[in-house]
Amino acid sequence: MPHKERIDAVLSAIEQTIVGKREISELSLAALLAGGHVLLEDVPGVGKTVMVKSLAAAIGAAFKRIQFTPDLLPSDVLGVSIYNPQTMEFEFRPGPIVGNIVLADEINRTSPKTQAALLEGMEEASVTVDGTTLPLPEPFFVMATQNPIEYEGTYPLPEAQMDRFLFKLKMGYPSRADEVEVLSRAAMQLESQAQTAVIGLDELLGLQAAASEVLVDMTVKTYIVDCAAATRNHTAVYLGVSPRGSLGLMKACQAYALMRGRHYVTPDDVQYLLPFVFGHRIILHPDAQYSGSTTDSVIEDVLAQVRVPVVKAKSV
Amino acid sequence: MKDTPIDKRLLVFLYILAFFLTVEWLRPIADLTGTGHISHFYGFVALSMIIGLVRLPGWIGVPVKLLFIVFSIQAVFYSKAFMAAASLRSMGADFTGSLSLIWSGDWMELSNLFRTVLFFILLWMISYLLRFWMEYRKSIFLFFGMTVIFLAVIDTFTDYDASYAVLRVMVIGLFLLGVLFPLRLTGKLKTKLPAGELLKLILPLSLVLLTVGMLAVLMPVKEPAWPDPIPLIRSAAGFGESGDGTGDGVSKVGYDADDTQLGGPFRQDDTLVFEVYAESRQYWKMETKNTYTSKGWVQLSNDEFPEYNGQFAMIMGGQVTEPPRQRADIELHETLPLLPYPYGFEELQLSEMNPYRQEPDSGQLTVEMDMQAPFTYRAEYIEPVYSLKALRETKMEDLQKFGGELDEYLALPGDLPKRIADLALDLTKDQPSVYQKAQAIERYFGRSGFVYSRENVAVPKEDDDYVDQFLFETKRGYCDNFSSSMVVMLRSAGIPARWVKGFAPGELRRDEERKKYYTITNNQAHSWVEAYMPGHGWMPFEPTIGFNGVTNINFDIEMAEDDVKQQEELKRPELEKKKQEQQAAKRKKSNSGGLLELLPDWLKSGITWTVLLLVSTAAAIVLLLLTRKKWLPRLYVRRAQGNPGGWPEFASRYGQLLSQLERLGIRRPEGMTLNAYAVEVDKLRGDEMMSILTRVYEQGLYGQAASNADWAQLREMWEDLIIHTSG
Repeated sequence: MPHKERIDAVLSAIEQTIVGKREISELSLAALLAGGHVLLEDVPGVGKTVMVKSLAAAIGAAFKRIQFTPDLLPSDVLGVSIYNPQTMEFEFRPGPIVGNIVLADEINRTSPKTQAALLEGMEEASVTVDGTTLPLPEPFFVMATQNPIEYEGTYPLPEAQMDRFLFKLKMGYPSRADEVEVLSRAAMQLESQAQTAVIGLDELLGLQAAASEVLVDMTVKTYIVDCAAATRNHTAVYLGVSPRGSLGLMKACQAYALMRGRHYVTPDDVQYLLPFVFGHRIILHPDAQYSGSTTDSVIEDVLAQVRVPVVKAKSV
Repeated sequence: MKDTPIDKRLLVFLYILAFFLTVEWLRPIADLTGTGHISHFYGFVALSMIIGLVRLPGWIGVPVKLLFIVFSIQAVFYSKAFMAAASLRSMGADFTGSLSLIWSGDWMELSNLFRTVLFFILLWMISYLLRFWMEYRKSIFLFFGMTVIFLAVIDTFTDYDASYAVLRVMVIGLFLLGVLFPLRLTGKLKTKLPAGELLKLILPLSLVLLTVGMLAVLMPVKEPAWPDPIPLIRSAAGFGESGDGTGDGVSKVGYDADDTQLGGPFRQDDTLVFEVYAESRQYWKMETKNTYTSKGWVQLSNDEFPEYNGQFAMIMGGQVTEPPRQRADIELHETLPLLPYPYGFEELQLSEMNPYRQEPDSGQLTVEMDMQAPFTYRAEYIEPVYSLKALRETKMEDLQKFGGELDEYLALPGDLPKRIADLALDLTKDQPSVYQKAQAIERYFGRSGFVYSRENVAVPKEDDDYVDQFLFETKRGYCDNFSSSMVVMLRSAGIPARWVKGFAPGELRRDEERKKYYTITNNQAHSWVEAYMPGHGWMPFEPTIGFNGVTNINFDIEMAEDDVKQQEELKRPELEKKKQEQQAAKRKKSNSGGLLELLPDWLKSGITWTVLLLVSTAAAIVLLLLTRKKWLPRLYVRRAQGNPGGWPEFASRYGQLLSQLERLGIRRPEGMTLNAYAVEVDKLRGDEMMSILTRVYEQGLYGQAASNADWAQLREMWEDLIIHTSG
């Protein structure tokens, strides 16, 4: 399957520079193919930037990085109009958001105003500065990272804006062997090798289109909706998953099935991706939290409760 | 909790069950109170439930129900002039009249029509309650429990036989509980049970209930280990009294020919006097006495009265129709000086030639020779039925026509205190007819603070009048006090009356063939009143509180003459039907009771074989079900032989495989995907066949594309899996 081969090529290109993060790389690529964005929640120094950089390099995309700080302004993200004395006109200087792959580092360290500027761009796929609307290039993929919110000096993202991210992932520390491998590679300075693109942007857009054509049978659609409904009806849950969440899950499943070389989505795909898509969209009751419920336990419940469709659905 | 609606089809089913539960309330009520046209009430309950079920808005539902009430009342009470303006007006008048009666507290005087309306309204409320219980509370236990208690009480204390009713109620009630409980639970969890799941609950539930019900009926019943607690309860409730009053002047209850000195306490005596096989409750008359002596009663013969030969039974007269004769088979266990007989007595039949005689005057029935117990005889009688309409047309003036003929029944002692007559005249002055006057006196005792008691009953002293003492001083006594007082008051009011002695109807029992019979003990010795209704003859009255008379009164008031006839004609087929039923019951007597009676004859002839066959069939089915994991796969394989098939066959085979694996104990939790399950199965087996099959199945199911797989090879794998996998 040509699609699968291309995807595998991208993944192995990423693997050349980053050690042992196959799952994160796959999920990031899945989000890219599904047209969604990723929120990485982790401590600094586990290889987030390297991963995104190598992803951008593998697809030959323009990579931009925004380091969010408390004093960053929306214009620092979106761009600013500057008076050009030669043309005697205001000229728009696009900000770092105008790129294919944008790494928004430590997004929760900046003020909500600036966060909103980025998130709006993510949602609309365009930015508006001084009354001019500028479409963002395609593909447009934001990978935001945030420190775990209990760290000092952070502005946690509001729930509505968390919903804009397709996945929320945790990178985690590498395994012992992997970390040793990281050190070895650093010693050999392999990382500094310049990467070459394995597929072009056009091909990536083609893959995105292919992903959106992956078949989702009625039974599987029903299953996704049942899962979303189950989060809403769970006793520990204050706010369940929105229909945007179910839609995101379906798109993610399509992309993932494509990566697996299938032309259809299976409940396994749904079960695998559900924690990443639903995890940050569920808000628990405070009392349920005190009694030990976590979003993970809720998702576990949901997956155990909702019947996997194993026969043809009669109707919905 | 209340906002999860129940599946519509299920709700219909639940309502039907609730309807039958309600019917179990109406049935004994109809049986015991003699309420006719019970189908109207059934219909009303059904209508209310349907209206509730289809959620008709109140502005339609309420008028529809009201219309139903009006229609049924019209149909029952005014069948001739159905919905005519006049009958509607009369109905309205009755209604307003009854409302004012309610206001003044004369509840006993309410007309039958108004009582019917009230009963309809009660049913209306019950149907609302049922809806609330089932749809909102989702708990029917209260109603169910009350039904059981109601039936238990009715069965224990009345002659209604509720043994099958209790069974029906148990099955219906437990079923309702069983269905509503999961609904309540899912309601609490705010989820909804899929219809299939509920069916899975309902089917075994009904199976268990049916089996348990069947077993309960078929099982032998052990004799009660405790003595019958009812006399105890009755005495505790004040219906009777303990037999420890052995002081002076305490007489034993029973029939005693000497009534010259009445009064004083009585001791209970439940010696069996006689048993009667009869259709209905009857008062057992033995004699009447005509002369009151201020202390008691004596019979002074009056030779002027004509001697009757034989047809004296017509003395009761007043029959509206000539219903067929009824029979009472009486067996005396104690020797009595006179033979008890029911009202409407026509003829005495004895086992051997033995001439009998009935005194025309006192009604004493004797046979010439031996009357020593045990003694059996048959009394043929025609139950007198009185027309209320005709009774209300009885005039005091008509009594004048008899001249002196009835004087002996108007005679009173000369020194009778005047206040008795004052009271009697006061009670009767507003009543237009003889019957209503008598009724007014009969009812007086029930609402004037009189107490029924066999203890601490005074004996009149030398200067006291027995009736006067009871009416104005003690107000405490038993049948003799009440009946004597009524006779004296009737006579004071100018109505001929006499004092009757005999036995009350006794207790209803059923023999091994479930035939009704009544046992009459000394405790049932009773006295009551006969008053002379011009045009009707002597009519019994029952003034004693706590006793219900058995006089058949046809409430034909406000009906045209024709209607009465029509109704009687309607009644006749009913009577015949009853007879047929009895004959049918007789035919079935070859086997002992229980469920067997319900079975057709051909089944009963080989009942043991039938039971054996049923049991062994059930056992075989259970055995087959339990061992199906052994034989079912082979059946599947045989069916699949030589048919590699395409996707549909493969899909159904895959389904069979899944169920078979489940039966073998390899469970797939609801939330487990087929893929994960296949991996587990393969791990158990040590190969990859399940995964291969699953992949094809998933492709077909989720990918909507039955690929050009090698179906023959897949079938082989499937065969291997379904036959050779063991948990």
